[in-house]
Amino acid sequence: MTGKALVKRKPSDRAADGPAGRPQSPFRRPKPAVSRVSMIVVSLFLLPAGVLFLPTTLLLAVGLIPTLVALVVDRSPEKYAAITVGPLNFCGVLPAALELWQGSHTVEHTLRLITDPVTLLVACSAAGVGWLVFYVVPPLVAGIIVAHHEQDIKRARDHQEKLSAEWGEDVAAGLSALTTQSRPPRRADD
Amino acid sequence: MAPSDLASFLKGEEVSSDPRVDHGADDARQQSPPTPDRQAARDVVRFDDRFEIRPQQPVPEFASVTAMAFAAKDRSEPAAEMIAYVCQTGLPPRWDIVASLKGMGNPAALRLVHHGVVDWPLDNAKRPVILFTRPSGNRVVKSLQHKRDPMGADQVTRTVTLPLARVLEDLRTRCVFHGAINPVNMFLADENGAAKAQLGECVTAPPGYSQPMAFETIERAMADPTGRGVGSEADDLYALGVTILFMLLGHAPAGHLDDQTLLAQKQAKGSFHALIGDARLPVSAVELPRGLLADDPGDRWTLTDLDNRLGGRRISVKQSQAPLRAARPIAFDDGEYWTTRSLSVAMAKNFVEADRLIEGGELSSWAKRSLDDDSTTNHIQEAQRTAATGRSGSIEARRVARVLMALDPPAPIRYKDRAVMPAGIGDAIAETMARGASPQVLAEIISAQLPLFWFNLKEKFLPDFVSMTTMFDRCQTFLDTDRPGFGIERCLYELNQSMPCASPLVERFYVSDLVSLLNALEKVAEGPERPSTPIDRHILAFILCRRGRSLEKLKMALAGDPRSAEYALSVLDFFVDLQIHTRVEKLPRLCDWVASLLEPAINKLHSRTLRKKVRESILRQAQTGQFRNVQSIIANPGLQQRDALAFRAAQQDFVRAELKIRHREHELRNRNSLVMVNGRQMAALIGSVLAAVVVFGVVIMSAG
Repeated sequence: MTGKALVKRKPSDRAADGPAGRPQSPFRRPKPAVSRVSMIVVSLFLLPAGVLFLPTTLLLAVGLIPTLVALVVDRSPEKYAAITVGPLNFCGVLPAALELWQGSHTVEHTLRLITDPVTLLVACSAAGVGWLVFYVVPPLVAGIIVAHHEQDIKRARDHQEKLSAEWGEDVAAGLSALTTQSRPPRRADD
Repeated sequence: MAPSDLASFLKGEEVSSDPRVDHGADDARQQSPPTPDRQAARDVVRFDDRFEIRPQQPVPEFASVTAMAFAAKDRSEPAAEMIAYVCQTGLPPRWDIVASLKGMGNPAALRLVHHGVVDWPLDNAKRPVILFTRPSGNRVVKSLQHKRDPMGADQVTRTVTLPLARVLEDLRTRCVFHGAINPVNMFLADENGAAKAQLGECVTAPPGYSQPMAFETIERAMADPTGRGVGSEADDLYALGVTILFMLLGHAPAGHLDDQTLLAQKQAKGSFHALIGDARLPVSAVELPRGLLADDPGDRWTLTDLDNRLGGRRISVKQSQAPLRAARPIAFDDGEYWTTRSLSVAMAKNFVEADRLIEGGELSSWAKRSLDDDSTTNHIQEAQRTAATGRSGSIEARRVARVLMALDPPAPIRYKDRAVMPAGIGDAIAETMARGASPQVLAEIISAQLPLFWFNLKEKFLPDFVSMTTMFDRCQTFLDTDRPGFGIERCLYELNQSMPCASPLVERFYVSDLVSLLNALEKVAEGPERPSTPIDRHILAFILCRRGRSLEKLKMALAGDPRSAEYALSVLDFFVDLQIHTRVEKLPRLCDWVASLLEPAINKLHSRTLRKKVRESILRQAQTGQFRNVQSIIANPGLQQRDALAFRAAQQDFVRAELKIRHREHELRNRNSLVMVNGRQMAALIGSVLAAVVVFGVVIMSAG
């Protein structure tokens, strides 16, 4: 038995644990967006639908290749690149799909549309806009969050100064207890 | 007159006013020309709106050993001539008997008219004053060294004995011991014998302090003048006997002998024979002094015997028994001693050799083998056995002192260089402290429980001993503690109920009670050089003694750091209690002084804003002069509780702010994660929303 095991833990500590009994981290890795079971269920419905609407399936399969690339290229489990690029890529394919659905819904028509450079250009451009959003927005958002956090820190420091001025240095006596506590754990992606 | 002037006074040197006072007055005159008001105050001191004392008219011929006499007048009776005794020595007057003497209208004694404390302009201080009717004649003799024509036995009876016997009867009725019956303290108007003697005052000095040694009994004469204490009627009768002898002889009996030789002769031959010496007097004349000068108080004539004798009855004079003589002498310090008293007198002069005699066992074996007195032998053994009692002083000194008491129980307590009667210890402490000397030896006497041993050796345990035993028990506990409010200062006030507060702070105000203490402190508070705290050891001891109520909690706090909040609050509590008790209405400056001590207590509040408000409120309330108002602010538990709660909340708030700062700083240190998580989430959201808008637009356009 290790020394740690000898330390009796409070029930409240156990309540904060995860399902496996291990302590939960505030920076815990999020669950995958689509679980394996739901993937199977979706596949069971999509595969027959894909066969049933084969012209649309072909069009989307070709038109959404940039999204597929984003899915493959983005190694993060959240697949934010695919989530960003995908909808816009779909927007680029949507005019061709509408034309397919409004015209004859045949494989030939699909092949004609696929081979039309304009259709491909529109689909790729829309995907490009998605990539643009994916690369430009995160630094901007980070900048805004940093500025906000810095403002928060300044406000908190001002508040502490006011408290010290009113209550004296003893008001910070509670900090000594804080310093003995463990620092916040570093996140996995830090 | 200072106590040290006693010897010169008794030697008949001219009594002059205190040179210190005169010089001070001269300086004051030189420094600033007197204004009409100040000059008037110097000329006449008003006393209780009824009496006028004239500081510029001293009456040195009536001055006493411890007080100067000044001409005085009763404004309601301008024809009555009076004298005012102004005490300037620092020794406490006998205030305890003043009330009893006030109503005494015996023409053979000076009539005490009034007493109190006045602002004395000659030294700019408050002084105790006792007003008497002016003596009807001059002193019988200016000093004991002066001679006068001898009186016949009948004339002595008419002039001195009868009037003084009436005075002693009056004093007995009032339970007052005079202690100053001697020819110097007697006044005679008509030298031809028609007038009667008038006895002088006895209140300006401790009992027996001014009494020449010849006029004291052997035991009282063995004590220091300040340590004789209150005596008995028998002691006054003894003094009367010596006075009668003086009048018969026309000079001091045994006047050619110095005090110590006379005492030794009294011890060896007996008082009467030592005093009369070779003088020849008619047998009928000496019968009365012989009866009054019996050394054994049991053999001495009482006042009733004296009355009977004066009434014409014959009273037999008992032959005094010779002291018990040992079968063989004991050698001590190059001498041989046959009696316990002579041995004890010799041993008291050499404590080191005395202890050797005791420790060597020679004394015990001498007592057992040669002294046919089991009681004394047992007392000696008990004295040696109990010598370890007490902590202060050396065990050798305590042992010798106890053995001396065992050898001569009626003698005073002799310890180191002091000899005091238990009843005189209080006066001795007062005199020692007034001189600025150390009262250590007297404190050791109390700590060693010597007075209790003295009482235990008495064959008769008198009712007075009960209260004195209790008092000395208490004093011993006071001396065992060094905290303020205890110690020798407390003993001083407990043993001298007339003692004014001797604190240097209020000394010049002659503080004799709590009301005058508060008023004196109020005046001290006005001064620019007031000390940091209005309470010192003397003041605290004085308050605790005079207040007569246990204030244990406050005493404990006052023993702590004077800069602590507990100390300040205790001082405030003390003054609240005193103001309620004395009902003194307003003391704004003293309040302000005490308020200035409260800074540590104010600083115990956490909130700076609250501190400022409390400080302002205290200063405002101090102006009302009511300590209770100040206390209601600073000692408000609700205020302190709210402050404490708010402080705890502020502490939690501070910690929360710190946690927020740390969290935000942690996030800022991980800027990449912001981009990777929050930024990409936002990008995904923007992409999805944009796509939804486009899809919606395309669908609408297609439908159109």
